[in-house]
Amino acid sequence: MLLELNDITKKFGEAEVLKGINLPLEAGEIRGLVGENGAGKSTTMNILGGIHPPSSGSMRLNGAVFAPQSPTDSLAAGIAFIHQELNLFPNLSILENLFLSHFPQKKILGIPVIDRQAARQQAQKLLQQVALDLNPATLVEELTPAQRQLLEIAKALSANPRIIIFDEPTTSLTSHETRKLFDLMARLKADNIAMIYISHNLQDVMHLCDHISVLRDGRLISDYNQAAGYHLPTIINDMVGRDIEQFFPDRNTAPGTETLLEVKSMHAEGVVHDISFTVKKKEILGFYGLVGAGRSEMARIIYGLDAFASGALYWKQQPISAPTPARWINKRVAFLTEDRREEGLLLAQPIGKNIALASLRRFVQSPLRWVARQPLQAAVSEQAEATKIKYHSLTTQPVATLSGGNQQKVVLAKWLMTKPELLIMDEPTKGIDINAKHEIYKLIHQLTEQGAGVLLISSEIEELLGLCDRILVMKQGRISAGFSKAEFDRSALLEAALHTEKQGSL
Amino acid sequence: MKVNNNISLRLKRTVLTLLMAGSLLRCAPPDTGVTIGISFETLQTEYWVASIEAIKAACEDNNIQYLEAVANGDANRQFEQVNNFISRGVDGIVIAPKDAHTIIPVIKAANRAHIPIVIYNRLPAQNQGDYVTVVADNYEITKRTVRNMCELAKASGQTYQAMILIGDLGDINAVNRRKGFNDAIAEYPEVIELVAEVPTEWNQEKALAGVTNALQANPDINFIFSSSDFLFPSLVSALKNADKYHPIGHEKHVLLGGFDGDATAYQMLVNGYLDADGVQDVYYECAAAVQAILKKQQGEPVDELIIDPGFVIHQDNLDERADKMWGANISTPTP
Amino acid sequence: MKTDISQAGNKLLDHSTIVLFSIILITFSVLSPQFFSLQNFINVLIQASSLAIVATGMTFVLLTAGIDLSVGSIMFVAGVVSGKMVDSGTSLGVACLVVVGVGIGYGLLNAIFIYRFKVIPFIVTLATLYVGRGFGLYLSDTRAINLPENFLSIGSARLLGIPFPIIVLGVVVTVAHLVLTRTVFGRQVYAVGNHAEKARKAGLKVNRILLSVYVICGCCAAIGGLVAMAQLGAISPSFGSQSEFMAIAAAVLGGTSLFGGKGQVFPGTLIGAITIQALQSGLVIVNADPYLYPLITGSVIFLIVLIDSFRHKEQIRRRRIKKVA
Repeated sequence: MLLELNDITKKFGEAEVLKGINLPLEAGEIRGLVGENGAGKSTTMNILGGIHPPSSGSMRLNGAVFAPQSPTDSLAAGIAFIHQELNLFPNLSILENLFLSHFPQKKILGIPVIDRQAARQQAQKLLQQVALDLNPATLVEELTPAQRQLLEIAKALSANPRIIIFDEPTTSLTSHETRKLFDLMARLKADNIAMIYISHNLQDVMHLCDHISVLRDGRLISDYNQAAGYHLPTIINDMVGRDIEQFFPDRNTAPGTETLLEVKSMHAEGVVHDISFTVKKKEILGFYGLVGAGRSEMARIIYGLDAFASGALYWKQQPISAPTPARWINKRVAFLTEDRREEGLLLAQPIGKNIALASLRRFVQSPLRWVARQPLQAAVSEQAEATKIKYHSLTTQPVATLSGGNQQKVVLAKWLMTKPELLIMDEPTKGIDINAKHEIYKLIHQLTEQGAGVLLISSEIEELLGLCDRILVMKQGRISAGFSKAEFDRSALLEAALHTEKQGSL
Repeated sequence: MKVNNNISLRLKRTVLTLLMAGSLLRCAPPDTGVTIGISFETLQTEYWVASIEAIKAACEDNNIQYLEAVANGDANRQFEQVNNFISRGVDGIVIAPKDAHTIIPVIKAANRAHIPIVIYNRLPAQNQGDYVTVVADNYEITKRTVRNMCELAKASGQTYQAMILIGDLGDINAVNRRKGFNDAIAEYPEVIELVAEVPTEWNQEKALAGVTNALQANPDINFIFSSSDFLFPSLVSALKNADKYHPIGHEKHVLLGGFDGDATAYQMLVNGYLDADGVQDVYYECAAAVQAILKKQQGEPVDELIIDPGFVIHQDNLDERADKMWGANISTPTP
Repeated sequence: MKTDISQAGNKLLDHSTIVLFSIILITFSVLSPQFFSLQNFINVLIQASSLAIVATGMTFVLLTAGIDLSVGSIMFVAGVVSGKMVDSGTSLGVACLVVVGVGIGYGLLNAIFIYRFKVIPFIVTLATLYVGRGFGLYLSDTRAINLPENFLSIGSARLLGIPFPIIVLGVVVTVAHLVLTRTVFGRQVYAVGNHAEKARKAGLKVNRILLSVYVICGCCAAIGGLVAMAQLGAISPSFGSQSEFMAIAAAVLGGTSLFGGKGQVFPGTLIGAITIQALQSGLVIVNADPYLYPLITGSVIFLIVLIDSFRHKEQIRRRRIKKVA
């Protein structure tokens, strides 16, 4: 046994977050760790990573008692932690990021300086291991998210770890890149390195892991192994603690005939090329594609956040010459950005204020332009109830204290309060747990029932297949294929999104 | 750099209020029943230090008690300090104000309390209320000093290329000195040609760089006036580097003039390097300020504006005038 | 077509330091033949040396997204202390060491307030700016300290024909450049400037790095003050005031970002300081109207800040596009 967690508990103040976790890990094993947000996965890993000490219980590494006091201790013991939020410095080179805390050094006139040649050689070796074919002197700001993810792994490997913890490593990766990551993990496994793999993507977990541990409410609920076979519904049941309703709710409406948004031949150099499509009333139009295919960029351009070179936009047949967010909000078009933490929320502000933000105008009383507080607050709490946000105070609790799923619901509530006619959503369920996802799906349906159209950008095929009336696929800034509901086909979608053959660049 | 100045001033106010939370109030000895308050904007230059010392000496000569306060460049602070004087029932106030505008409310406050007030060294921006101003005639003193230099130049029979070091152009004294200089050399067009005006913003480093560059551009400069004596070390340093610093009588001597009458200038006069210096008669001004308060107190009429005619000190009158030159009476090591 | 222009624009932004420097150089050379002379270039370099040295230290602080407003007061206090010492017979060498010591001590004081008591650098160094100035005035009785002849002689001394200030400048810039580019500490400074919290997570001793940059800045300020003193021959009560603004301007003009993590001492900050000095020098040489000086200097500083913010925006934009490429 390489690593053993024995009856680990953890309390933060009064709240007991972990209630006796037992977890074994063998060398060369990949163990999946699944559970809803708040189930205790992160806390368990933080204890292993030396970030928090456990309240009780013990850990054994190679049979010896292991009680790390700091991340440095854990790292020294051979435990590397690859966080979901990458810890890279974009202003430094690949090489510098790799060795920031432990550069190889040599002495010139007794003064220690960086041994650049040795560093370069070691860096190239590490990059080879993760199959990253780049010059180590390249600045990290020039890398794609996937390359950054691989660099983070290379960084972990530079400490010669025996155990690597992966926390949601595939969220920013395309499926092609994900496969490359899994290949890499297989190689590491062959080198007898143990891995703990945390992910919401259960398909990946089942495909990859030798064992799967399911956590719920701070307890280890079940433990499965691949040899005995995995059963997805059982795992989901273990995670949520009850049978969930049918995952994708039924549609009660069909798309209307009135066109809301029309985009004609939109073009922005190096970003999107010749984009044309329409969204109808009550329609859910999906956009599929790999990360970096230009979907988010397209949405940003439509919403007036970025510029475009040529093309035309129409709202209900009327041309929109210079789109700005303010104009769209006036026309009741809302945009949920992908980066909800940075672009969609005022994290330090209370939930209520965040919800009210986009619809203050409706509650303004002439002529002094004061905000009518009472009706506003009533509307805010009504909206908060409708979106099923879990909170204890709308007026004092900052959004930052909410879980990812609830934060996303706040963003959604904010836009729903404007009673939108069109909602553009970019990865609305990224990184949130199953229950919250389900609730967001229901809200999307409600919205269309009220007559609104939805433009949904997602990297999860299942989500698009389950929700949309029509799916367009983007590849390298162009729309490469379109599917109506009758033609929905998983593999056809994937094929249209992947770089199958070389294309002449323009 | 004006922008920065404003920022720094605003910051200065905030911080100084913190730093100077404890007032610098202090009491001094004997008694004639008369007490005056002395408020100085700052003690950041030698000139201010010499002035406040001279006022205190004038008080002591007249057996007057005094309170002193220094506002460290903060106009609000100065206003409070004056209010403090008023509430303590002083019989008169001598104030060296922060600037021409912020003095107005101070005058009003003193007038309301019927306490005579004398403004030292700066003219208020508006002529309102009852007060006495004591100022040196910067324009006139400069003009006479430069004229003195021009006479020396004329007597030599040569022609001269002139340079002036200008002060901060936001300072009315600097502007008047520049004007005095220009008007004086205009009287000698056949002898003096102005080739360089070097702005210093009252900063020594800028002065050094500016003079060096001007000498680079005009190597024949041989007539230099500095708008303030405190720039002399920079000027001398630049002249030495250009091999232009030589005593009077030497063939490479550059005609030098200055304004203020500080210790460095005095030493340069004594050592025979400086030709002429315009001196503000600090002793006259301070005695006049204290006298004005005493007279006002007794209800005697006083001129609203007391102008210090100053004097020009040069090699020929050095011995007789030295004791009137404030810089000659403070000890500073020889440069 | 459009992209050609924007690419040219980007190039211009990337090399704005050199472009601005060249514009100033060419303009004044055309206006006055005296400006374009070896002697004048040497003069400009000598005059820029003090500012460039102070700005070098400032660059370290700015790289960590901090700021040090107290450099002018450090110059002043260190100058007054050493001036007093030399005046009372201490040898020149000892006095110079004391100057550096005062600079280091001052920097340490800033650092301790910033990292022990968690006060933001802007406020701490603003306070020490005034405390230092006040302390220096107290020590000097608000009198100019005239330095003895031998002090001035180092200012005009030459080694192998190279003026002393330029030698000091060369040494400081070279050492700083090597420290920033070739040592572990130097690279970690950039990491801390990019994101202090991430740097902490990456296992860097962030506090020690931040402490060091303020000490380095204090040390450079003291050395810069020494170089200025050796040329001036005297320390007036206003010695060093406003140096903080010029030093920040020089660093930013040289491409150092006020947002931290970007910039370099060589060539960046050095060119920045020389540009500012060349501008001043050029204005004097063409005998410009004295009222024009603040206008022109102000415009240049405005331009610098504008360019910095354009660069910053451009970087963010490029990052976004990279995702697609």
